[in-house]
Amino acid sequence: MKHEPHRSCGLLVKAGASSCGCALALIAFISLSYAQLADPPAIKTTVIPLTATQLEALNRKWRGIWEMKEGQNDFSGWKTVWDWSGGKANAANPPPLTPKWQKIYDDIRAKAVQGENVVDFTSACVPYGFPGITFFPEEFQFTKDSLNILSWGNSAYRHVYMDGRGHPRDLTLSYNGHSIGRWDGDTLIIDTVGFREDSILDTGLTHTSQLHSIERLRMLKSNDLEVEFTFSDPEEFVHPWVVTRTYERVTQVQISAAPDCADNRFTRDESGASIMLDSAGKPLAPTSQK
Amino acid sequence: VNTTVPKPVKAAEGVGSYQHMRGECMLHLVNLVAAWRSAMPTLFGLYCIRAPMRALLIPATVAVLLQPMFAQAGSSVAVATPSSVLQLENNWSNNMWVSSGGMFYSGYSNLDEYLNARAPPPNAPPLTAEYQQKVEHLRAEAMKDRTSLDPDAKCHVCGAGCLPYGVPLVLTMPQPFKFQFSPEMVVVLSKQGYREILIDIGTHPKDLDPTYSGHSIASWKGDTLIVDTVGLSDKTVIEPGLPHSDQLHVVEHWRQIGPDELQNRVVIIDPKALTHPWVVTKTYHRVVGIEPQEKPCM
Repeated sequence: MKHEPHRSCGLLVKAGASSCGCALALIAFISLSYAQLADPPAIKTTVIPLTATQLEALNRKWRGIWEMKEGQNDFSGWKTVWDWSGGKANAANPPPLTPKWQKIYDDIRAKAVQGENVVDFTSACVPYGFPGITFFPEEFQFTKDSLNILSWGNSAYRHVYMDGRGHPRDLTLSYNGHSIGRWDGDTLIIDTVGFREDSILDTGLTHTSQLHSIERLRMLKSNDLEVEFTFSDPEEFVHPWVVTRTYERVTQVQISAAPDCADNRFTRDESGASIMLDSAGKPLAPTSQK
Repeated sequence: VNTTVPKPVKAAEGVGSYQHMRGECMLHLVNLVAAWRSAMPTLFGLYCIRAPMRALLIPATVAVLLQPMFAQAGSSVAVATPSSVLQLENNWSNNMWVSSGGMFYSGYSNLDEYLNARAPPPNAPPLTAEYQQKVEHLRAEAMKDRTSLDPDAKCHVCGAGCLPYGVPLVLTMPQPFKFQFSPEMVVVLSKQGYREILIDIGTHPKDLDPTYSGHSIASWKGDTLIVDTVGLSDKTVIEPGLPHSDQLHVVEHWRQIGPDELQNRVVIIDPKALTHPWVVTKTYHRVVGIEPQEKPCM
């Protein structure tokens, strides 16, 4: 954006305009820059509305339930919190933390190894929030001006505005943040900001309200979906943290949201960790991370 | 509830919209009056009637002829085409909606009115003897602890066991919701989470695991969206103080009755709790200036 006025000034000179004209352009550039500073997140773009036929084709392409493929773990690469507590291996993709946040992360890990339940916020049925919510199966609904990502995690949803609006300036912080989306060819780009600080970014890792996520969703094959997450947080990371995940379409038959925390299907064990119950109320295997 | 008083919002003016229907009616009115005047002498033999008498008869006859049409205007279009359904979907999804009445299907305005009532409510549920006893028991409990009736009583602390309203209580609670339409499903977004309604799939699956929102299927019949829901958990209530069984079956009939007003005729069927289907009509008004919000905690 900042290069545009320079080019305009150059064109003015080529056209034989006076130095006064260039000065006016410079003033206009400064004004524009300050205007941008006053309203940094609101970048509106023009969107061409989809026709009914295009909308139908888009929903048909993305229909069904998408589940994370097996073999994928936390963003950092840990399998489960229990694995992590045992300290078996280093993370495959560790978060590029600043020294302050590395210490916070290490302290939590040390407590977890001691058996403390310090990383599982969801055991109290607090919403998972984004990006934790992406561990659960999800469905996509494209409407004329938005995308709804319907999660099987506590019946939560993400409402992604696809109408060209930017992020609001006075944003109310939330577990799932404020999301805007757009298409770049066949890639769906979702930009999210405005997160509450009491949700999990990864096992044992929280974040500040400055967290900024950019997801790039791309259909590799008809039943394979790749999602590349780029997390930025100037206080927490020394550089953006990039994580790629793959999902698969598990069925073409759509059914209602699975029973969840709201259906009293979760409880705590003696250590405080969450346990999912079956329909008869009997404990299933520990499932707090998925 | 963070709502604003709805301002008049100009509805879409395409086929199927309220304005379009009114305009169409006026056109029919003009045509019918012209047709009636030309046919009058031969059809009714009234040509010789004096002018003052004709002045009385003409409006009366026109009114009789147009009665079905005005009734139709009130209930919008009779036959929905794909384009008119799209117009309705577009109009409904532009803003959020909120229930205009109280949280009781039976007609009480609030919990106090329910607890202090000495007479049956305006629209009393047709309870079976078994559920009449349950209702009286719950009411007696509520006289001691009023919060036992309040669906939001446990929701003030995260993790305290606040339950979702569930269907059909969610349809009467004063909480804004937003319709979202796509070719195969309708999604309703609110602070309760989302409710997924599948379009034109015919039947419900067998062996449903009961949930608070149940399993919903829907189809458009003319200008009315009919939503059929089963598989509902018996942990929730129909309205405060009125429990139901796991055989609850709810059929909703949604249609637009004004530029900023929706109507839902709710048929509540429960062979264990009700002696016959209980039919209640709720209305909803458009709320402008708010967007879907997530629920802060469960």
